[in-house]
Amino acid sequence: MAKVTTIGDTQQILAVYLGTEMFGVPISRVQGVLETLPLTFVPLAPPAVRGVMNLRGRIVTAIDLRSAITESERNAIPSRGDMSVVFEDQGELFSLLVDTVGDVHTVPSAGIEPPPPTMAPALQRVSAGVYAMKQKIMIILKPSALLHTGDAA
Amino acid sequence: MDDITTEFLIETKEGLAELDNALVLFERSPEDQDLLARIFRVFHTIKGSCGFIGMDRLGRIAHRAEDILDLVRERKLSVTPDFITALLGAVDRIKSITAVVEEKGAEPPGSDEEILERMDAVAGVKPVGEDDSGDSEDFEEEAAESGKQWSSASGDFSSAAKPEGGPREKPADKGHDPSQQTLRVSVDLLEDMMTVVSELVLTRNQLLQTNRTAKNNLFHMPLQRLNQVVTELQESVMKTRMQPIGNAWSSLPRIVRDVCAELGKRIDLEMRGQETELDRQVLEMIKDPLMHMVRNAADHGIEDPADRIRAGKPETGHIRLNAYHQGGHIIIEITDDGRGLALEKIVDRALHTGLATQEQINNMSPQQIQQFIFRPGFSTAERVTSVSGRGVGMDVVRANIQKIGGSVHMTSSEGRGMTFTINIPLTLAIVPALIVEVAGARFAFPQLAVGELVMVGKNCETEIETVNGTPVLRLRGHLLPLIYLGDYLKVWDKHKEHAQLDTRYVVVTQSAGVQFGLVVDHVLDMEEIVVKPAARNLRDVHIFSGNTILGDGTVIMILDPSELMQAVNMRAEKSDSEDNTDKPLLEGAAQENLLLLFKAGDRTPKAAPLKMVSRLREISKNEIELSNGRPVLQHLGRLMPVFSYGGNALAPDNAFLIIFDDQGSHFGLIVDQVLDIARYTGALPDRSEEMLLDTIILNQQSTDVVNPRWYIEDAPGMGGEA
Repeated sequence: MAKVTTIGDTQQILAVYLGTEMFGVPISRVQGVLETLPLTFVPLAPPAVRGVMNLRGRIVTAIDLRSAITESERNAIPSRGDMSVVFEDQGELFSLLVDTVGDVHTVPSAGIEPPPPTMAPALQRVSAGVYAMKQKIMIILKPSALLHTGDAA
Repeated sequence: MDDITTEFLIETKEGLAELDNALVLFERSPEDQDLLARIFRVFHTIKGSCGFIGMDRLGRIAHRAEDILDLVRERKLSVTPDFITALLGAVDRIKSITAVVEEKGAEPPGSDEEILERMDAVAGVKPVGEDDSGDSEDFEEEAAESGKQWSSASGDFSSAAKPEGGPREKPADKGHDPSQQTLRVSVDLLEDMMTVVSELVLTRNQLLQTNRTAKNNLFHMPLQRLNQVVTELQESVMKTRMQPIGNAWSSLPRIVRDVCAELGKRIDLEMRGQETELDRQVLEMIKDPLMHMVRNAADHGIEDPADRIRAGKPETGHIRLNAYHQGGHIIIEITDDGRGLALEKIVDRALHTGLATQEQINNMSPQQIQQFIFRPGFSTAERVTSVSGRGVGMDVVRANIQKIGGSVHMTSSEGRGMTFTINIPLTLAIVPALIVEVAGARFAFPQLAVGELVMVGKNCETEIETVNGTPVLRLRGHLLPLIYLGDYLKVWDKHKEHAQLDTRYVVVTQSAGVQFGLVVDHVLDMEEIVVKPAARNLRDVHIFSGNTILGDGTVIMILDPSELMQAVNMRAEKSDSEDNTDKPLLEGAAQENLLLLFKAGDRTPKAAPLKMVSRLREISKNEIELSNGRPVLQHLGRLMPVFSYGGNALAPDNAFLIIFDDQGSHFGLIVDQVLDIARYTGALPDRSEEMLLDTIILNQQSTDVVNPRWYIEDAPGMGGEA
């Protein structure tokens, strides 16, 4: 399920932030990073869907990372979502709204551990693993899994 | 799979598609040498290339078919139904084998002896074994030969097979020429092009909008050029997606023939307007419904020859398919001269299944009773014996057609046959839509579903009322159920915002036979939108059928009228409201007319038949252009003649334009003011040579009823001279 690119036995992971929390997106999935464009709100949509935007003539569905990983969706404080990490899934474009975007890290595959069982279920569902860096712990995301949040699933 | 096999599959499939039809035609006109040559060529090509890539089973079937066709060519054998059936059997087998080849890359193991024997039997040829032994050798030889010719693309197959076949060379040549002027392009590539062009169109719209507001018009000229070029590009790309409707019909002659053979009926299938083109996506969607309806017509509609004779009809039944363009739509008619719908049986069945009570039936017109065949589950079980048979899965047919924004109508006369009329949009990719606004958010609403727009509120003639808490609108004597879009989408606070606006708009919508009104804050614009499917995680929000990008670059969601309808759970009332709205129109078709009232010319109120009116709009003087000295107006991308009541085509400012639709041809009539819609009980002539159809008394006033057709048909040089 986890579609992470392996270069030798390392992976390239883009670090993104919600406040000070660090998350990782496999760079192989990332199509682009841009400042979030004006969004059109979609009524009745799952809470994690912040809206849709026009990226050079293609419609991109914006997913709020904070809402997507928060257990109780009603109480989720939406992230500022200044930055969009655009990825493609089954021919459709999505963007992950985060606060800031950091560096690309080369991570040894062996260093990626499965998410600890004590992690919140909502977060567990969307993470491919965790990687302990010197200062911080990075939760590596599975972009495709983010699309299923908000439903009963 | 290698390239040669792929190429072979494509060629073979094309050949086979043609073959079904050609064989059925050939059965009827066995003297047609061109046709014979065509059939022969397809088998020959298959045989040739099979030898080339080692497909023995296909090769043998094709070879045998070719052999017996050769006997016909040499007039040693005459064309009988059995002969055609045997060949069709061969075609079917080739089809099923190629299907496996497509999947697995190789022929499946198996025996085709029964197919071969059947062909031998009709040809009266010697037993199989004998023929076979000598076969393989010269088969190889010929295969190699024709394979060679095929790759050089210059071979003439019929003459290769039979050197003395002089007269047949011509059609063969004809068959080859067009192929050098056409290219095979993958559908994906076309779809990509369409997407890119749509984006280009949107960018162009943005540029034009910016240009309009900019002072310094350095870009004006190049932008105009760009505008023109983009429009042309859009049109030609749209054209690449168009396919003749005949492609969806190619399987029908075979289906009708099979039904005939099985049930011992005689049916002529007539197809008109095969060349009518429509978007391939739409074509795919209507293929199955059409097949279903034609099979129904052949199976249940047309009677046995004996019954037909007893009913005083020609022994051979007749099914006619007719397709033509009308406005932005395609109309497909399926007419048969069979037994039509048996009302009594439908009533029985409706009562039996509890769809209606005797009392309800008593109040229904024949047309309304016929509508029962569109009910889900109606006449599925005992269809063949009990009900006249029609309506097997008609609800599915209708649902499929409605899914693409089309509609089905039916007229039937018992004992004389029936007609289905299908109305579908030309393309799904680009549709006109109303842009509506509620609580500051904009949405697109497909214009096809819009019946009319009504302004409601203070200072308007109509206001929204509530019945037992449910909002309704009085519309010409009927109560129209309403949905507040804002409420439904939960984008506003009901109690706070209901009172906020003085006026709102009701979009009167017809969906699945049900009328309802959608209340919105504003109606902003009409725009041609490029429909794009919504992303996966939005698909559960059924109320949106997709999204689109507007000219100003914003993304908006497209509302789905039928879902909206279902969502408010009005299904239960469906039948009632359908009946109510239809009743006055159907029952008293001869006596009741809806008229559009307007002011023009002298003080006498004027009226025009509403059924001919397609749209109303305001018009300003400078919109009118001249073509060949006659005033014209751009309408839906075409030029449409405009006339003025009384002959002065130079409209005053803020005049109104009534756009008429007379069987697909649009024209406009400039009037001073549009007043109302009124119901007139009394007969009106449908046609007239005069400018007025009639003068009637309406609301205690004499009213002139205008004959719109007079303007395009009979008006002596109207408009231009003025």
